Amino acid sequence: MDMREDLYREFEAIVGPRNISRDKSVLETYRCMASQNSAHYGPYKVRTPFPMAVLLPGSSEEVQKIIRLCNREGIHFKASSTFWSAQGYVSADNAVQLDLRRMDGVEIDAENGIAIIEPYAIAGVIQAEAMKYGYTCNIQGVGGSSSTVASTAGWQGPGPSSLFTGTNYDNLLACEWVLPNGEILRTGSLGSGDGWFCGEGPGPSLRAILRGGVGTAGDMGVCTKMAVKLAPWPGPDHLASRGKAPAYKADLPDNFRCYTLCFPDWEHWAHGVQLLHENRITYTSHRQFNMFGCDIKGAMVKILSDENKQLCDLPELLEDPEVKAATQDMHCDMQIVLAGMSEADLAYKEAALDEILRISGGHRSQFMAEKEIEDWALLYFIRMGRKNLNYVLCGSYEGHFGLARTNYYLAASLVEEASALKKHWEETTPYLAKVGGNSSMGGLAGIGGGGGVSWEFFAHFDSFDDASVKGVAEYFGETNKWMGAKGLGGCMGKVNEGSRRPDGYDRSQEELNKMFQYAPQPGVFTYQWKVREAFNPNHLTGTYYKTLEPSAVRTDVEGAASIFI
Amino acid sequence: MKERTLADFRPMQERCSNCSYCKFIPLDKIRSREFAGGCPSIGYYNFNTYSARGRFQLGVALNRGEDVGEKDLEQVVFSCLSCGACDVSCKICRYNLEPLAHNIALKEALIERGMVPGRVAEERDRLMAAGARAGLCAADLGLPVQGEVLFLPGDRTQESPETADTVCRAAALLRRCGLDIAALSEGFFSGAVLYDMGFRKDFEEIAKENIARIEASGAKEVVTPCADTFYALNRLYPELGLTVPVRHITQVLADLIAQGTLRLTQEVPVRVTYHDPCSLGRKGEAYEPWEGEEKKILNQVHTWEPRRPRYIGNDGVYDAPRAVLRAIPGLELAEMERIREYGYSCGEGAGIPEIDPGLAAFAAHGRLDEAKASEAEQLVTADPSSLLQLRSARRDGDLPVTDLLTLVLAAAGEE
Amino acid sequence: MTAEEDLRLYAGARAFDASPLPSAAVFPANGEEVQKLVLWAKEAGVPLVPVSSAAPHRSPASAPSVPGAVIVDLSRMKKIHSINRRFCMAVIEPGVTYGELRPALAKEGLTINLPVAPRPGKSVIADLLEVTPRRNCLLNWNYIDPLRCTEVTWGDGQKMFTGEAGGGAPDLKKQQSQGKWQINGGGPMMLDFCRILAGSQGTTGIVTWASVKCEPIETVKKVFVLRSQDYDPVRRAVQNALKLRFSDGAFLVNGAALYRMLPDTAQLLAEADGGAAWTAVIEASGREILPEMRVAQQEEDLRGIAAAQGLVLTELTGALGETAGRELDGSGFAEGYAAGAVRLPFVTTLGKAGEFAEKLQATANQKDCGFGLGLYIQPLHQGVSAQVEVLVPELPEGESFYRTALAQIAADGGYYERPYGDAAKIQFGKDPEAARTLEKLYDIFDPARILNPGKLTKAAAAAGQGEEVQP
Repeated sequence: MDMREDLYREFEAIVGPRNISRDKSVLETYRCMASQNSAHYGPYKVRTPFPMAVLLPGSSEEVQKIIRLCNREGIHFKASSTFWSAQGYVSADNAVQLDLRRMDGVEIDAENGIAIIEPYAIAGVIQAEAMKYGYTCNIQGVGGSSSTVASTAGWQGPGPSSLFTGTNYDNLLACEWVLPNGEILRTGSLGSGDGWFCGEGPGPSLRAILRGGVGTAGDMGVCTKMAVKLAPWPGPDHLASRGKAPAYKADLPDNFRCYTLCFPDWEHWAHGVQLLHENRITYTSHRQFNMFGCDIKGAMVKILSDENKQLCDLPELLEDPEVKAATQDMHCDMQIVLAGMSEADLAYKEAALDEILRISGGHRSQFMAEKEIEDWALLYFIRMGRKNLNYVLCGSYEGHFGLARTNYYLAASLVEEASALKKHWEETTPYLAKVGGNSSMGGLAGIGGGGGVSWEFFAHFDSFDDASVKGVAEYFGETNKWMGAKGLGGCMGKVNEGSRRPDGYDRSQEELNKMFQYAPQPGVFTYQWKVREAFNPNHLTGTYYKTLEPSAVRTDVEGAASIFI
Repeated sequence: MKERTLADFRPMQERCSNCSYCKFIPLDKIRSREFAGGCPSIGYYNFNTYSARGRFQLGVALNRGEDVGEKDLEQVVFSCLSCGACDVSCKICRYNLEPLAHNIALKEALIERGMVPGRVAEERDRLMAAGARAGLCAADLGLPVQGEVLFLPGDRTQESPETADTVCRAAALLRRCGLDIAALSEGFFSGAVLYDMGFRKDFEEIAKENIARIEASGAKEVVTPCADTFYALNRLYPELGLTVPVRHITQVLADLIAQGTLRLTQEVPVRVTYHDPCSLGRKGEAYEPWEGEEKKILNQVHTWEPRRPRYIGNDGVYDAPRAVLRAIPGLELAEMERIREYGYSCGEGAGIPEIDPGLAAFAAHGRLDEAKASEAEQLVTADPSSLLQLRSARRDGDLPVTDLLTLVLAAAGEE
Repeated sequence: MTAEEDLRLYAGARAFDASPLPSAAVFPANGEEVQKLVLWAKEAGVPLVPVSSAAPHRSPASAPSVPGAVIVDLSRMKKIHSINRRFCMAVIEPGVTYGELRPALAKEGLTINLPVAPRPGKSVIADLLEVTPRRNCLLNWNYIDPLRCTEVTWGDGQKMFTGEAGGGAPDLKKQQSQGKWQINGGGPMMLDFCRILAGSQGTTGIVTWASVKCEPIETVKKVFVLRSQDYDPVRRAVQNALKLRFSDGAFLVNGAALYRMLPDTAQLLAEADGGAAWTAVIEASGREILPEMRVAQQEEDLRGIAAAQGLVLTELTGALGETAGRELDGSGFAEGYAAGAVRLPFVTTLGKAGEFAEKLQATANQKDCGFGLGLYIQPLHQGVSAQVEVLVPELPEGESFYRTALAQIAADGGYYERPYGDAAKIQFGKDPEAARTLEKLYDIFDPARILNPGKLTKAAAAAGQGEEVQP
């Protein structure tokens, strides 16, 4: 949709001619697979609509002017930073895309352990800057190339280190936020000009409207700056790496360990998680490499940690007796990193880990303890600079089944049955990579300090192959039914369908009403409707923000399913 | 060279996963906010469009026959330095994408369709007018035309009398070290820049002529101080039939020093930092012949049959120049944050200084800023083109830019 | 309850903020009754003030600000719905006090992160909703930990669960039978309901149960002190320890605060070392796994950190250790440690807290109440910020100091995150956008302004409309 010339000039006057474009080639590159949710690249082919223009604001004031102009003219808007996800792309024809790339500031308050960051500060950069002062940060599960502001304000924000570092939900301090009505809200201590150290209050926390259990996916305006809590980093001011690309390895002093812990079965595995949560000895705690598939993870680790190997080495490695035995040993596994804050601290953590393993019946994988593999994995987990290996097998993957911050005993009890369903599809259809069925993975720390795990499976498929795409979508239909039958809510592979129509556009309020009118607790959605009416009266953002008109609530049927959070 | 049309890139275009790695140096290597960027093009323009990810998406649209504009598209596509930074970063996690090859293929596709911006056409015409025999010849260099080692002075060496003089003296030094060095009777232009600009046919025309001249020279080896010439002869020409091996002059010097043939005895008390030219580094890996096709295993896992060479920059020339610098008495080497396979471009590449001077200056300034942050006193490089580019972009307060060869000559007592 | 002498228990909580008598007090037994009450009050336009703790009622949040209010006293709601050892979670009703919860948790091998010297009759839920700082700020990954999910009736009369509990059936037992233990307090979706409740002084909703995060009980525990005439070395030692995640509880007090909060400990300490202007109380504990080794490691590292600041880490042993442990876990006074004083809490950073302390002490000296001025500095949220609680003696000169200090703290950048009384007016005066935004939230959750009106609502409304609110 073309933008009126006079309007374009008004936008141009706000950001300057270098920072606005309506060139077709530029607009084309601000489109995305309409289905892509978070880091996932779902099985769809439709792209999001063209924006009318792309703007690169350089300050909160510019963002505010843009949004005020949007309100005056009834123009939709969506801001994004690193554009990982369809959430960051527009969902209407009369919309402008804000690209926050020019706002990339990072400032470390070393005395108080705080980073003050702008939207385009990626986690890898924040961490690098923080390390100079003896700190590190939570890196969201999607990895170091993603925007921490986007993860905190827009989505969930747990990562492999969250048991120790806290999730982005936990770590958000004061922030500056341009609301959809054009007002600038500065939360907590920032609102009264007292500093960035506190994001709560005065009285009730106004951040409540900016993000809940999940962020507002860019539908509650634009977060332009925020402070986040950092965590201690007992390593050098720069984490040096050695080795050749792509198999870089950490070059760290001796106060770091990376272990893969193996358990005889899922019950013991869950007990191990419980003890790690209670004792909080780990820097990182994650079930990572099973994402490739339970049959191939040992071989994949061999490939990825050796710069001379490629995926074509898989068949040979899969026949290697040592790799086979290690892979079997790691069936019920997890990866952890220990970081010693002092010599005594590391000694205690090692001893406590021994004790935890003794009680829970686990052991350390010898295969993963080999120096080159351990250093490779250490770098992987500390910097999270290779999270895009999620895509390495086929170019695309999507999370499915899916429970967020959940009961790990429950999740563990479901793994094998879910794996059997996936394995059946792998073996009877060509759509999915055939990796042994079980590709369950996820953070062992969906909540800072522990208490719940995130649990999902990866379905690896080829986004270039139409049959693979279509087949995986069908498979998700089955996993969705399975989740429903278990009373677990919907499959996360289907989450995106609620946020956009299959053609990439916003859902209508009528459609949303139908989705949520039988919700077990409809207030969750009716209050969001009221908040949207109060702060986004012109409805200028998308329908990732789920709303239910109070008048549409139905109480004639008991709520069918719990919602995915 | 093997013909690859834009359509051949469809799988990788549609398998790009929006991860933004192409915008940064490999994430494991990031040390600061200021020097985290890898791609100068998106660094300068800021729109996603200018990243490898944006270019993949443009490729998708072009392959689908969608309208993505003309003039704008041309500007975007040719504002790529073909420096290969995106290629290394992408390949940290992706084994089936080749952003650099795709960026060049996009240029080729536009050229094929006659969509060539004026400045690009002018630059191409300028280069083609000079042709394969541009540059310094044996007489200019004071070298014979017959010898075991063919010395190719470089694509832009002649543009600066000082650089030309340095190269001549370096060649003389090699002779004094016992190398049987000769040069061509006419000048030599590798044409690598044309390849990087997307003018593959023009490049092949020049390359074929050059290959014939090199093969006919009877030399057993080529030595060059020029990064682009090294890249052309090591990576591009072999596919067109070149059989004579090439070494960069820093590799030769490092060997001579290691053997004790070249003794660097004079103190050069200076703290320097070293700029890795892209064409000598990540793009300078040796060509490995391959014929094969994609093969899916385990239903959907992409591999190639047979194993395909994977250019990720590991085998570029990084250690030799550093070894030479470290052999100079009194010299101290301070590294910048972006080095080796993840070095940052100086802005010289794919004709950008002529096509898009703003982008070229932006890149050079980024490098000069980084050099200053390393706390060195001089920025050193080992390529006449990079040297000229960095020098032309220098502002007040920037470090002096020095040719590695001048330091070697000084240390060898040749001044 | 309508007798005046009974109702007087609910009024006049703070010496410096007069509070009108309520008209009645009701004692609902469950969430359904609370919802009915709210719906009635909304219809009738009657203000409701929720109260949960046992008398005496000292919290400024639960004293009515307007006449004619009906007290909703939840102290009869004493059910402990569940204690789950596996996930270290408990679900409790608002009438459950620290004195009741702690033994119940202990039976299951659990404990809860406590504030300093809680009064035994204090409602755990009320304390968490007031965001009273915990001793061990390292367990505060989230600012409002250990509060997680709730059942709430909002001011508009709607009842719902918040946090992950809001995503399932509105039936606690059913959720737990499905393996859901109300662990995650966020959301459940994009609106953070628990944060609309926490810190609201009862103005947005009435909570009728909440889930709280617990910890395995300590099996070995040591208490240490760092003592100095100067604030900064003590502060730096505490800050450095927290930065490395050492200690299991740490706070700083001046002499007067130490005497108020841990009176017997203070006495014994003074006898031992003659007293000090500043004391940091630091705890180290071991739980189920290698408790002795953990405490020994913490002690070794804390000792090194203290020594780097020229301080000696002193373990409180024998009678002193027992006294300190007892006093830390529960105040000996029914009214709590602030008996005879008014609390004035604000948030700043640990470093800046020292500047505030110095200035406040100087002002108090000028006002002739310097001797009794208590300063309690509690690191918050894993150490990124700190609450300074000024304990002002309830004396005429104390009131004069209090009024001056209120304005002075605000002017110097102290942040009234929990703004009581006039602090609310000052804070919203500094931040009118927050006031306007909060009013919009009240329009949604308590449109008739029946929940504890006159607290934040009045201040917010005044500031939002640009009224002069400086005292």
